[in-house]
Amino acid sequence: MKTPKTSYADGPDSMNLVTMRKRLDALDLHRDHDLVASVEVPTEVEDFEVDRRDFFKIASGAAALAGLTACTKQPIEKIIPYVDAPEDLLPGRPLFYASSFTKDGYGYPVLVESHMGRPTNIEGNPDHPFGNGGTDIYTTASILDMYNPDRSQSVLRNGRSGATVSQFQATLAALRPAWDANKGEGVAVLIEQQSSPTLEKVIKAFSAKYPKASFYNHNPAQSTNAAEGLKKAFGKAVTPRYNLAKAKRILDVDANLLGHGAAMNQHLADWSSQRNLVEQAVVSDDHGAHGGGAHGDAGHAGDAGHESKGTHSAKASAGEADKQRGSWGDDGTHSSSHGAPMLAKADMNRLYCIETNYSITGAAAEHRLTATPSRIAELFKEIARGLGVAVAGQPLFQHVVAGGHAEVDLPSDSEYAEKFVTGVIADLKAHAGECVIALGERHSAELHAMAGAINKALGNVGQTVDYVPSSLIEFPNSGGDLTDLTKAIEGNKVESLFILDSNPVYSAPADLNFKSVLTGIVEPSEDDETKDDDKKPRGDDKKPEGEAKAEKASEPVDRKLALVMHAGLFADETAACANWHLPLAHFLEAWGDVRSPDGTYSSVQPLIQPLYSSALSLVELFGILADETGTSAADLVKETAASAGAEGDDAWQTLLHDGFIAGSAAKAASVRTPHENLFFVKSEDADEKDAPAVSGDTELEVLFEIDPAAWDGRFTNNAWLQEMSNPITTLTWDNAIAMSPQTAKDLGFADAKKGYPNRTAVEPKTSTIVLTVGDRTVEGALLIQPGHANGAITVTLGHGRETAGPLGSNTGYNAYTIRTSDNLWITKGTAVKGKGMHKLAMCQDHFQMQGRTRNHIRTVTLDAIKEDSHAVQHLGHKFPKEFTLYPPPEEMLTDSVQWGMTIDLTRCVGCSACQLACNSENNTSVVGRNEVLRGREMHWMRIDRFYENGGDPFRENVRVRTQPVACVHCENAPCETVCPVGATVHSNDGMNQMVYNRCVGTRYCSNNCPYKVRRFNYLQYYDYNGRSAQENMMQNPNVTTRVRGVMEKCTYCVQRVNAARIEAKKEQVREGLEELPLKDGAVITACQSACPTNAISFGNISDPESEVSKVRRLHDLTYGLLSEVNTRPRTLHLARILNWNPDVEAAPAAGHKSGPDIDEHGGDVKQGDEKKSHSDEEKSEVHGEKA
Amino acid sequence: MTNRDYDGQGPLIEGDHNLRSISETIGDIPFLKIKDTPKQWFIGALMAFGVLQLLFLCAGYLLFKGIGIWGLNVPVAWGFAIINFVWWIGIGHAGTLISAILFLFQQDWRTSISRFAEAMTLFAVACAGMFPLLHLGRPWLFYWLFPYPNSMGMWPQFRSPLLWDVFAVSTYATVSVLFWFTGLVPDVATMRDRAKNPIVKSVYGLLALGWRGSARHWHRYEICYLILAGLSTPLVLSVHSIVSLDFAVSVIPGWHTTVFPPYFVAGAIFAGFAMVLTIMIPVCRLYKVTDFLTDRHLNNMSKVMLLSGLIVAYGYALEVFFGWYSGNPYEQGMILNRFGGPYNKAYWALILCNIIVPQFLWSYKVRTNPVQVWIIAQFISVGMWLERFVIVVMSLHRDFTPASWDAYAGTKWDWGLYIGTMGLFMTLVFLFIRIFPMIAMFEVKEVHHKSQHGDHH
Repeated sequence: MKTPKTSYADGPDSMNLVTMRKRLDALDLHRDHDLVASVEVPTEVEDFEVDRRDFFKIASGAAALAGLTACTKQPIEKIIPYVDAPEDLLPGRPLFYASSFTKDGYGYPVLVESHMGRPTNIEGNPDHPFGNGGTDIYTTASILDMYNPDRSQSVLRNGRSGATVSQFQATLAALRPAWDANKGEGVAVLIEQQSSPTLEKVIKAFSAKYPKASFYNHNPAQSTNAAEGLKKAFGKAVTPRYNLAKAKRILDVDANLLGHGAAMNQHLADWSSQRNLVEQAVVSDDHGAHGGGAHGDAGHAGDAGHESKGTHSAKASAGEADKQRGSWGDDGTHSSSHGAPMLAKADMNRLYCIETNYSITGAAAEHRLTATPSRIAELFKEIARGLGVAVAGQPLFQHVVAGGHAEVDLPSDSEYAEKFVTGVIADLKAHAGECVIALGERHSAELHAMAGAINKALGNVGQTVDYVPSSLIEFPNSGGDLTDLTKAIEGNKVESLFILDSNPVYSAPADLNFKSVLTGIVEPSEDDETKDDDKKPRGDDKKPEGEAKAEKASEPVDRKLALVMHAGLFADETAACANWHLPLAHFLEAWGDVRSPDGTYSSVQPLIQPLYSSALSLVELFGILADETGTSAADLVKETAASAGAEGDDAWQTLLHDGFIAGSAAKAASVRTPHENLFFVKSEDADEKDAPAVSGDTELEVLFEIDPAAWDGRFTNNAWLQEMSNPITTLTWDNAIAMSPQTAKDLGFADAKKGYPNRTAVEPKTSTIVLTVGDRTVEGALLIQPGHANGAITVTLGHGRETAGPLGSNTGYNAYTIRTSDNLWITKGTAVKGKGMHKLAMCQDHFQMQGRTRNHIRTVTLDAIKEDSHAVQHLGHKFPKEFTLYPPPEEMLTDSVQWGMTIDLTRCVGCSACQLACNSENNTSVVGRNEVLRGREMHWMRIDRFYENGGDPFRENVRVRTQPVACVHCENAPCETVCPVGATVHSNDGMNQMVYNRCVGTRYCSNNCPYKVRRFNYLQYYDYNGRSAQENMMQNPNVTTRVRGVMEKCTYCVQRVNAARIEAKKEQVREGLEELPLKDGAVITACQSACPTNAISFGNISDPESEVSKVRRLHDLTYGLLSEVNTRPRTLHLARILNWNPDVEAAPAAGHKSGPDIDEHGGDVKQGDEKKSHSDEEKSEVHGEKA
Repeated sequence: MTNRDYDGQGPLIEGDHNLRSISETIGDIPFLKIKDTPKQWFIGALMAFGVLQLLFLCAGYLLFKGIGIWGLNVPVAWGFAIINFVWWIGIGHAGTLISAILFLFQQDWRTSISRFAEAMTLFAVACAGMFPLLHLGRPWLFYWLFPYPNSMGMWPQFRSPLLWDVFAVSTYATVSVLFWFTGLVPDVATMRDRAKNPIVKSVYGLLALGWRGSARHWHRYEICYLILAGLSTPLVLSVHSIVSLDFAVSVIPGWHTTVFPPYFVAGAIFAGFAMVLTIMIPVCRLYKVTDFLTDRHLNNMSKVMLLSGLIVAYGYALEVFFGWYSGNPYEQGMILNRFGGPYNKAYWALILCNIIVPQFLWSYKVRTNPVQVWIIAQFISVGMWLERFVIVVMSLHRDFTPASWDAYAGTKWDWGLYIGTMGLFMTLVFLFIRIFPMIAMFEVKEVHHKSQHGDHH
């Protein structure tokens, strides 16, 4: 698994011109020449006489010397062939290794692509039981952290490099006698939650040696409320595990099941498996085709499968399907042979969401209710009451009971809330035992107990919800959290502090003043380190030292804390306050193991030697702390794996190959029914605590969220994540203070005059907000977020770092500065307008569809499409019919492979994983905040997001529609005809190709692209000369990097296609086959591979049996985005089907069967745009007659 | 002896002129001693040359850094460069129209303005030609647009309107140079004969191609000129038609429209006449050759402007009409965006400049008042630039999917390069005035002759 580093570093890769030039530059020849010229020539010139012979001597000498420049001394590099070549290692062919990426202690299964010993790309591990082979954005982007040139590269001692690990060991050795004597008293370890069994083992070993050493936990991104609440309800420490694959109804109360949390990918995969209309429709489709269509009726197609699929040949069914393909675009000419609706018996889950700020889950939900955190608590109690859990307090919606709402003056949003809650209660009751109630961790323990009680009461436990013991390590001699540590330090109970992979100086709650607690005690004067420092004083260091001393002087207490050690990937804020900083190894550089969120034992194996020799893994670090470095990390892991079930070499090899031990997931615990009177016991006072204290009108509820890009601050310096178009907001390189349009208006922000502003300036400016919580304030940019609850504000953690590196420092504001340890997630504060203006770099400036939603992001209800199978196609009716003389692509060139893609909007949630995966696979450039502000982001895959507010921009409950758009590889591509140099051309296999070398940069193709998916290198974004060696190593060697002035776009991952084709051709020749044996699934594009919900299909559309062909045949669902421009896209979108609950929200406009269609010009759902709907109806009637 | 109004449409030459005085008034301008040269020439030429430096600066930095220094982004991938290209090319059209088409129609009033207008054509094409090169992402590979034999075995892609542009503009530039130079030969010969400095004399002599004014020379000259005029005439129509196809061939709402070719040609003539007037009115005042730019010239040119302005207005009306009539929501969205979008001020300013203001030209008094005509010409020049802004930027910045919509504004480099080309244009104009007779002397003499003796010989 480990590959000698020489394999790439000394290969031909490093001998390119750039490095040559760098080396020449490094030698600084110019300066030497200047020196010669200035010193020697003037003295010689006075009697400079030459005869002919001398002239030739000099001339030949000069010529010879000139040649010397070609003989510049190159650094000695050894090209050593492998003595024993690693198995399967062929130059130019990548290898894939299973491993696990660790975040917040949980492992995420990955397959890492390795090119000649350097990892280049991370994808999900499809065999692993956790997730679905997809990835999330953090997993994909984690590879950038390894190659990040800002990574900590050496041991720092008092902030200065040059120290070594052995020096640190010497320091520890000096302390060890004392530790041995008092069993480690005064030793404190601050660490994040962990689940690695090997780490647990070494921690136990350490603890066995120093039993009084205490462990403290700091997890800024985690909440303990759920654990506490469930312990209260069930009497044991458990965490909920939702099985959304079994759930018919899901109620997500601020939990963001699909967009946050350790098990997010599992949730996405399971949730999407219940929305796979493709599978359900394919059966009906085959059947309908077989039925000859003409006399097909709904009932007939319904009993699909009475005839085995095998009876009709693949060809026959394909032929039938081709006949039907009149609707491959959206011209609506559905052949009458179509038969019964494909989805007559389709079923899918239904997701309800109640939340404050817009999340991915809220966007994906069928019905979403906006509420402030305190209101959510009330609503949740109401739901609990409705579901038979006895909860104290008065019903919320008395008017419902009273039979009307005349006496209560309700705004329309409240009316919706009422219907929502009653509808949800009824629906959940009807699906008892097959629903899930999930509550967000930020809510109080009491509510979590209630959530447990509801799930138990509905009989979900054991069905859709399991309560499992936590797979996290229980640290021995646990001292508590950061608050306890602070107290311990202040109480002089800590002498040596080891901060492992945590950045508490940045992420500590503000009231702890953790930085000053730490910095009060730097530079212990009696240590020999200080003497060393005194010997070599440096001017730069004088001042901070002085400051530190001054601070120390201001500290009243003489602290005992003598040693602060920090270990991390980056020399961050905490490293700056520590005596020692040790670089940590990246997970791609180290041996280890971890438990995935479902508890499965997963391996972590290195793909490369640590880039920096002093980098250590946590396991190795504990070995050093415990002075037990005898066993290598690999052996330790092997031992652990053996005890976890992978005993013996074969099992070990299997573990490394598969990445996990099968069947090692955590087993569900049996839980009791909570005491009936649990929630009666709660007094009204306790309720009061949750209810908002009604005081001044500016008092707002403040919600802390983990930033979707920067997480809790650990990814702040990750350029891919920073430039990722943020889910929902599309914000990059920044965080903002989000509030609803109404709240912004109430607070007097001019930005909110028209509700959500369409950003029409080149670099739009927004107001800034000064947010005051208690006596702390923070200033950040205003983000008007439609769908945010009125009267609440959301701030995100993770930005505003000081020493995150050149990219991550000083982006946005630091919300930790107003976060206090008693109110970690929800608090109250006041907001006033700040002084300046701020530019928010968002990838999208227009969030409203201008009346185009119906056609672009087609959304229909499940009921509507069951009733009228053409419901999706009707949505395109206002556009002219598509016409072409050519047959559809799958018929055109059936003798060769024809590539095509489908994107299922029913399953897509807009999580951006595809965008990140595309970045990683295709070496797309990161352009930076300023360029994003100018609208020059380089994402090949963009995710459009639109708000539907029903014509009222101040409406609280708005919908979001998301849609991934990349190059759709038009059959009739507008870009191709206008390129004057033929730089973008069509391939035989139907791809719209971009020839970078041929491109001169007229940008006509981009102008003529209706999708605007082409990206142009306006500047030299890919910095050939300034790039660090690490960044060069990271690039995918199979993808050309693009120079300035060249257009680029999605290639359907042509490098993967070609790799598969080469393999297939080899097989073809070997086996003497007539056809190219390119199997379905041989090519998986980066976005497809990353997609956690399997929304993307890719393959050969001329093969009727391929997955993508089957999806394309679902004419009821597919449509070509903008195919009214006659582009004939190869990528088809599948309409978004919502399992609408008419009891919660009124069915879409009367007579308009196509589904929910609230768009900007369409007015409210109820009013609709009657004219439009009527004409649609008329058209469909006309169409019906024709049919 | 006063010049008769020989064709009843007002005199073409005012004042008391004979053949000699014509030669002196016009032909002596290049021979003026430095002290006799109007101060304004020095001031103007120096300013123009100064502004020209801006062009070098902006183009230099552009080549060094990349077109990212401009305000372009992804929906709006064409901006100032293309606007300016179309604007300059349009300006050039008046010259060809005046010298070729009016020549074929035997409009004698063209004589006084044809030389100047043709020179302007060349200079405008020179300015215009720079933009397509500079706007390339990799301008050093511009020659890939030409069909030349190469080791790559690559040909340009003949379906692209940009390639048609290459041929159209290069043909146009070549024919315009030939036409201008041919028309210059008899006058250069006059200059040769009048020049006193032997060097100057020999340079003019070289350019005069041995012109002796013999009947045979005149005969061949007239045939040659007629042929070139015949060649140029379709070019007037083709060049801007093809430029308009850059837009019309695309699928973008606001570009994809069949009205573009005639509407662009009319717009070009509109802008071209405005520019001729913009330059000629002050220059004729400056060099006191107003006798040759009479009310009749102003009147006729104003009429052409009015007519072409009305055609352009009709084009605008058609765009709006078809936006509505198409029933296509994208087209409708585009029109609504013009009326009320973020750049609607540009659209309404365009309507003001190109439709409303030129209506003053219905009045004879306005048409013959040089100051008022000049002011209207300014409006038209601005309006035609705005028209291209509206077409290029406003169509691109909001096309199909609102998610990709974005805003656009030129940066200082965009403006610098644009103003820089004005410097180039004016520098060339000032040099032209100093080097060649700015009015075709021999043609004026012919008109003079006609006015003395009638048009019946």
